[in-house]
Amino acid sequence: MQHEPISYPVRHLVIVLAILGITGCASISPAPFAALATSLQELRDGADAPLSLVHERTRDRYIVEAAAGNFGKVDGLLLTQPAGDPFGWASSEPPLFLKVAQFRGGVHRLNSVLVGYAGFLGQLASPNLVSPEQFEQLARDLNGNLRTSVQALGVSAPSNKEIAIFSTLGAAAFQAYLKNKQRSSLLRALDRNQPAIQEAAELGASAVRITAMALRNEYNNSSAKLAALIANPKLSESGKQTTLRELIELDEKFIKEISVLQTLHSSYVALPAAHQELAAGVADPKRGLPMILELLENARDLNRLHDELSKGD
Amino acid sequence: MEEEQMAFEQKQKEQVIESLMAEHRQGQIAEINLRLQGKPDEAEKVWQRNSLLSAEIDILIGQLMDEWLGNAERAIKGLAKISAKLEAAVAEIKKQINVAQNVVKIIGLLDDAVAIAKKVAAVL
Repeated sequence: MQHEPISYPVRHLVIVLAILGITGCASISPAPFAALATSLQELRDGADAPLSLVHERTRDRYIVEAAAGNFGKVDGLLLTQPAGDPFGWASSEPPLFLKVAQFRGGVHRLNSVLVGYAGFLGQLASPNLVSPEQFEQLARDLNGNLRTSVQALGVSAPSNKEIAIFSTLGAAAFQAYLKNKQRSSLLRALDRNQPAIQEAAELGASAVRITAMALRNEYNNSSAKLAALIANPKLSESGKQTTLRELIELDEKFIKEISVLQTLHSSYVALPAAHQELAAGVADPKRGLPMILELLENARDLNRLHDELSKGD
Repeated sequence: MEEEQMAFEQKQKEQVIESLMAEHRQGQIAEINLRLQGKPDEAEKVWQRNSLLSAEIDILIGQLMDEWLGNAERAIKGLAKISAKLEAAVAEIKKQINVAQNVVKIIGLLDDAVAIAKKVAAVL
């Protein structure tokens, strides 16, 4: 039987229910860690989409401006080789779209290491890392082996029950030791990495503000161009209507795009507190996790806005 | 302290570009109004001045992106290091479980060996 892939809203609901359901559970709950990983993946995709638009628009504007007689812009396209660098390239006046492309790559790399970090945190928080099944198997194997030993050595065999208790205790003690180690490693990592996450979140928020600035700059230029066309007295009534419609569509699109960036920004701002909350949640599973939930809500909004914008295209 | 100063400078630059963009926008609105009022020559002059400002804004946005990349490089390396440490912590726990499984297997093998030795001893 082929399984249908779980849709994003269903996955989101499952994670929220799991987070809300952790109260009263003494062991590490993987749900908040899964929520962090999901949110960061959404953040990475969410940040890449507007930067892709900015790249496309700055490139298109560059072409229009260069074609309109700005020869400096044509010069900027003639790449040269920096002395002594066989693989390098340089431009007398690097076009903005090339810088946007590099910036986009940098933002993607930053978000990817954050996604990777969340993935390893998730592994360290996973109940499967020290799973009861593994230890039950260990106890069973140990039980079997002990039985063979005593029989082989000709010692009068203790009862099945005694051997089972002994081997279960041995495996259970080892499991408890590893569980404790897992928990302390996780708490130590969350605590020690807080400043790095804080710095990464500030960089992420700053990247979103720069993206918003670049996006607005492109919107300003495109909308002014359309408005100048509408102001042209030679343009027919129907031509004006068509151009006005284009301007309205541009406005509506810009409003959606900027709202994606606003959600992204608030996600980066919430990230350090959410990360701190993970540590507090491991130490005290009865605590609420409002920042993690906010991050997850933002991820859901980003997913929805992303879908809306894709449909618009 | 240095990082705080750097972050502050970055924010200040963002604010400067934002105000330049606001000026540029006002220039565009003035240009459109002049065109709507039937004053294309004056509108053209405003457009030309505004184009120079637009080019400066492009350069400043590009610089801001370059600076961001410089700052991000260090953070990316730092995050990659802490991820590697986490990976090692996960691997260490998995290794200890493997060691325990192997120990149990070895005990089993030794048991078998002892049993065989016992049988051999009984025959001799």
